[in-house]
Amino acid sequence: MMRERLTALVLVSALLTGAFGMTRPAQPWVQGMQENLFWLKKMQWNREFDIALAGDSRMFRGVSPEDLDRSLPGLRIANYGFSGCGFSRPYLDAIGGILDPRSKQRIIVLGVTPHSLTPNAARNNGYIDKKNLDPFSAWVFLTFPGISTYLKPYSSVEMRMLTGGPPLAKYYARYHASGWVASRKDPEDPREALEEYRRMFEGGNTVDPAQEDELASYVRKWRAQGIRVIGFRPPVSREMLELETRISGFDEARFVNKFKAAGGVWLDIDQTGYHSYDGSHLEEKAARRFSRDLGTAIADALKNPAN
Amino acid sequence: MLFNSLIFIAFALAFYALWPMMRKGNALRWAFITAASFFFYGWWDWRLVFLLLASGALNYAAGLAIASAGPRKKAALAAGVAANLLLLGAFKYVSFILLNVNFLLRAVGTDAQLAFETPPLPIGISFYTFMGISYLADIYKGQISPTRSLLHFLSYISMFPHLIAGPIVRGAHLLPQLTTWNRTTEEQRWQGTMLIVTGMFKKVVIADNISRFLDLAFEFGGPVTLHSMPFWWIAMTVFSFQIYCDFSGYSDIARGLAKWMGYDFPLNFNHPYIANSFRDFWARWHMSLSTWFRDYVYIPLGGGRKGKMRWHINMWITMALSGLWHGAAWTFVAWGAAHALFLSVERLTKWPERLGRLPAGRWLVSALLIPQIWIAWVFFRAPDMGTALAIIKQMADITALSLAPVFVVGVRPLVFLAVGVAMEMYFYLGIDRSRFADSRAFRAAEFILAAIMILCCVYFRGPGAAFIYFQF
Repeated sequence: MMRERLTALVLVSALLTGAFGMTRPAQPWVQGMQENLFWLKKMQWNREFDIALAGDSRMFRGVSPEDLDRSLPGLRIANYGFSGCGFSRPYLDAIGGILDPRSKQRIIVLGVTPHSLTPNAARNNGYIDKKNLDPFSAWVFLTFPGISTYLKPYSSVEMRMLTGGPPLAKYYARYHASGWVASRKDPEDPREALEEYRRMFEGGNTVDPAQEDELASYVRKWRAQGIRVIGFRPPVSREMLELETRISGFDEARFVNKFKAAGGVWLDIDQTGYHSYDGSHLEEKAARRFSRDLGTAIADALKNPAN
Repeated sequence: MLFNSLIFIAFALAFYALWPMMRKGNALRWAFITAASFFFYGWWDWRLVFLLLASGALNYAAGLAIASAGPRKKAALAAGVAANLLLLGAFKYVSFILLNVNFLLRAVGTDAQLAFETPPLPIGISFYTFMGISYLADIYKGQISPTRSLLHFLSYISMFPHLIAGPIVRGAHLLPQLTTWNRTTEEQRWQGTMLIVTGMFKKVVIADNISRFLDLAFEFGGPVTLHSMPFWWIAMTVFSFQIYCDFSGYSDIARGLAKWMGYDFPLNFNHPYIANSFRDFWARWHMSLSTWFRDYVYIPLGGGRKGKMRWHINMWITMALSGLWHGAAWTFVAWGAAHALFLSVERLTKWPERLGRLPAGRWLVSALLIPQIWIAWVFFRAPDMGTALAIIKQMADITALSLAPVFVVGVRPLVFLAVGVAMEMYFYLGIDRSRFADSRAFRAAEFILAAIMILCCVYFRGPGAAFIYFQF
């Protein structure tokens, strides 16, 4: 009887789990690569690119390597941004590691946001989460992407859909193999991210000058290795820019001086000239337009051999 | 490796597939357990294996030395305990001590500062060090004889189910079990499975889903920006269940894994939040640690045998040390001290007994007891004393009644909190002791519940995280 009970539990659980996975609501607005695979592939990049784009979600949602490529033809470009990513030592080490050492033009492009220079972003971020994934799990996810996607936990959105709750805004995302996530939201709320950022900065998680120095020291190191380093502040909504300038502790002029003194090239881009769907991230079309503009600016900067 | 990881599932499948072939001879069984446990431990960092081996060899040798030291056995015990404490101190307490010494140096106007590069804390060191100390003390007291086999001892100290976060299993309990093997019965395997499934559910579904609430609260500035009395009471309720489900979940899984091997680990958590006094709480919370402190600190200090005042002093010392065991920070000492204060007040006033005699007395006791436990947890969770005191101030601020911060942080974790509360209410209301718990209907319900819990562990698991007690 007991033997039957255990065996029955295994069978019933397998059937129940398999069947329940089929109830997962379809989300046709999430496209491209499977999300898990997208991040794991990104983590596996190793010594294979000419240009590494690095930063947080404003970077991996806001800069499309495919569009950047128009002004920088022939270069292998990867968007190596991660969620909430701060410029901590492990991440900075990893950025250099994806560049091909045999490349004639090795370039690192940093999207510097105030949040990326805060202590919280250095400690907890998407890069560290993925790095901490044990190699066996990573192997399983990469080898059996279908199964791991089928068995992945239900998200808040899926739970809401499953329980018939009021609809949430549709969050469109297309995961590109280049590391870019094209995204938009329907309906949009350009003020959505403001409150979260306000609380974060007012709560004391503000820019840490020591992290600015750490970043500058890496710029110096990369320059010494012959890598060109370009930085810019990714565009956001006007309200977000004002909020961050007011309370994040980010003194752009001070930072840019450090950055340039370390050998980096700072691009003064139009920080509010592109459309953001939540105040923080660029909508897909705006991201493409911005990427083209950024590509032109980078190409111009590279014309100067001193940079 | 974490119990809630794919690699552990693969490891456990391999281990239990080989176990029936490896368990029959003593030497083979001990070697298999030790090798598997070292692999399990070394998965984090292979260098840790040498530390575990050194700690095991030290206690094995010290145990033999105590038994053969004759009149000098007290000195041998002292040397063995000191060696264990030095090992623990070097990894866990040196920077805390230096921090305080430097503070004092500054206070007396000296510019000199001591510096020390702290190595990362080896996972589980507090647990296996305490197991080693209890082993030596029990030999000294004549309660057990030292094992003559190093492999036997290593299989005891390193056995993977308890290695990282307990329970702290005494030598007297486990060493004799390891000298035999029994074919596990179907009932044992079913009980083991239920413990593993329940423990996993508590950890990955409840603890991991509700943990985000507090993480976000601190990310958003904690008490600096979130001004609301109800919010902080809810937040501390969340944390109380997070740490309970996290840690008791680990203990359940450990006990279940041991049952699958045919061994028995002691119960480590007995629904502490349904306690009817602080004394009762400590008889239910992390029982293997509280009995450890009782037997090896509190009673040697004199316990309650030397008068009322000494009882209080000994209990305060024990609780403060228990706090310090959890972490090298004053917040943990404050957590222990808060419990000592509550225990002293309880002893002096006997309030739970008196209140318990009133109509609905049990509910009244809980209504007074729980908030005190929650307040003590503030010290455990807060990153520093300033933040802890600011949170307690918020919890007492009857003018800040807005619930808005709850919605800022998000209500989804509260759904999982409700599940955790419901699980404990089942025991608080005594349903587990009712006739239903003995019925066929219960067995059917238990089966269905197990299947649902497995389903939830797959689809409603929270973001994977290490067990909180690993850091101790």
